[in-house]
Amino acid sequence: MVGADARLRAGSAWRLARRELMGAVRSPSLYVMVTLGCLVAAVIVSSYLDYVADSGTVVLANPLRAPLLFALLATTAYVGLLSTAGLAGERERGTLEVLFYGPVDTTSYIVGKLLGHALTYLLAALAVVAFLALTAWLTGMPLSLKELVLVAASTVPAMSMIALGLALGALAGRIRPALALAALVIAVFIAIDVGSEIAVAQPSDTLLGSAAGLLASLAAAIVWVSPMGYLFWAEDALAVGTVGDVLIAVGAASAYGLALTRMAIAALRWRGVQRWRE
Amino acid sequence: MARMRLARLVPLALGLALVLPIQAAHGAGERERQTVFNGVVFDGEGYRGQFYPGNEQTIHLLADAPNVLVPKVTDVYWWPITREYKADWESTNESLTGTLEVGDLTFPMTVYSMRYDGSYAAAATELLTSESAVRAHVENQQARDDYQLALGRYHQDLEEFDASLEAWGDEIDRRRAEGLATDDLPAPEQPSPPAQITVTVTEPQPGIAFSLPAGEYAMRLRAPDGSIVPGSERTLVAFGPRREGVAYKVIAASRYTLPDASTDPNDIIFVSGEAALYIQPAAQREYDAFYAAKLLHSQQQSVQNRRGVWSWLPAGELPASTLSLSANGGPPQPVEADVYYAKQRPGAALGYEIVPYDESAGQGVSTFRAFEVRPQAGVMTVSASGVAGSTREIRTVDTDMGTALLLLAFAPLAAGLFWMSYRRWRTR
Repeated sequence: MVGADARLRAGSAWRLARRELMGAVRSPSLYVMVTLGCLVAAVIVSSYLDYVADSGTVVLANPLRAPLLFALLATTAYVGLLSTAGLAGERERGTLEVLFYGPVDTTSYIVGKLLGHALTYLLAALAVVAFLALTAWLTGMPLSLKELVLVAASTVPAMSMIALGLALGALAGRIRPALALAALVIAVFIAIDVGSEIAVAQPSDTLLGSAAGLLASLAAAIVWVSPMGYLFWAEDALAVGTVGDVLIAVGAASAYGLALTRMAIAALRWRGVQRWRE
Repeated sequence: MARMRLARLVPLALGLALVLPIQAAHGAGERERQTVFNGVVFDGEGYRGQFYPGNEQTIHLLADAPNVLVPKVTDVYWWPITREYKADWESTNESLTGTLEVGDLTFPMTVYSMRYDGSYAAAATELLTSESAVRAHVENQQARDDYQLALGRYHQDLEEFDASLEAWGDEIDRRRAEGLATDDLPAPEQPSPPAQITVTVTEPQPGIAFSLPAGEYAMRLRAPDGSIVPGSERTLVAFGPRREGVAYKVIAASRYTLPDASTDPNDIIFVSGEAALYIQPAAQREYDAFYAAKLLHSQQQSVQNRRGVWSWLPAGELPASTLSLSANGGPPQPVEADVYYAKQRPGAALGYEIVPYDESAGQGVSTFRAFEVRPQAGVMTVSASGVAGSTREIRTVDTDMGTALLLLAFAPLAAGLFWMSYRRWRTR
């Protein structure tokens, strides 16, 4: 009985995941997102090539790491917003309530959503990797194994972001406040994590450089709750080549994602699946 | 209207303020008598002087390397142009003596000298302390005196040689005039000048020499009467390297005055259209970036005090006369170092060619010693055998692909639009 129940749940979750994936594939936003990642990569690599053409030589470490990292960050933020909008939108339209009349419960719904958006993320990330591989073949600038490991490791922080988006979507009553809240949270995380990375490179006797200490403190404070922070953690560990630190970052992101998933399930149970009424 | 103008100006002012340097709130010109330390510190290659005013409470030094601190009393003032504290040695320059207490260790006052070969360059200096400093200085002075005597004798010999050469020439002329043979008349032998003294050993000066293992220490100077010299307390940070590696200076044949540098072991050297690269390896060590910056300039204010940020410092020459070069996975081939120079093309038009140096180039030509690498299509790998962190890839890139990449970047969008249009057409 328990086994049949679990199989039913797993089947429901898988069908929901497929529905999410097919919905993303049929939506223009996914292609816009992937194109944005490829375009940024093309601009960055093109600037490198122009420099080599002018100067004869250039010395770079991991030239495709920066465009890949941008694409992964942007796609992580995208799936976070997508998950928030998906859940809050379904509840606002009333389809969520209808769905729960079928063999779907809170857990299978959240897990299905999580899996579906994770597959969307993977699809987008692989598309960017394919473009970077083509870039490497055409230009001679290599795409190393470390970059591929970074893509693999980034799926865990991405799933944490999806779980966070689902939790925010579950907590908010309507799609607009849910999206606004998710966008605000993502923007704050990106601003602190990326801002800290930029500020550390500035001279400390400028205002931006002197803010590096504050940004570093904020980044340290949110490192355990920011999916972007886990991504940067894994990227830093890969840059130095410490496999142990990469595994720790992935492990910590997994634990965080699991906690957020449970929080999303609890939030949906608490808020309910019925359409929010004034 | 005025409010709107102000609203536009505020963001601009904030933006400028973010990037403009902060001016320290110091009174320029105000003097304060302080106990200070002059440092002769090892920077990984040689020695450099540092000034540690009372305002710099922490001294950063390399661990396990001999360093010297010289305690003094002077008037210190803030110099806003270079944004650092300066010493007015002319007004006050009082030497202190005593014992330096660093943690549980004590170091007495001694003497030190600097030894360098050729002109003074920090990279070539050697620190001598105590008896060896005195001995080396005395020997150096003796060598200089001997050289002066030898030089005097040489000048005398030269005068005698000039005279005998003139006499020999007169005799040759006379014999030729008389139709006599001159083959049996030996030419006078020119005297050789004495070998120049290139090594300099400075006069021993009082200072406190010490070497510390890595760690953070409380430091102070104890006067001969047993009291602590006021203002001598400091924190001393001795730090070591995280790892060692090899740096490469990459000189492209077409731009030999604008070399690139590769310090990161993950660096790749990308090249396009260059007939040759000239590579100069050097040893390096990686240190905490803040500590390294403070070592090189004690009053450095630009670097951020953050752990986990690293920088490489030179660590002397790499004793490798051969590099190993392989192309596209093939067997490694040895590459020998050679001396090169830029041979200017004749005529008014600018141009040069990097060629191996030989004596026909003449004296005073600027030369450099390097390993020549001729880039090939694909991937080349250069390394110093058995030296960790010395491997670098050299890749030839296609620089004409920029536009193609920008166009290809829109392929996902085009594919998506095509897919959605096709589905819509199918489901109509």
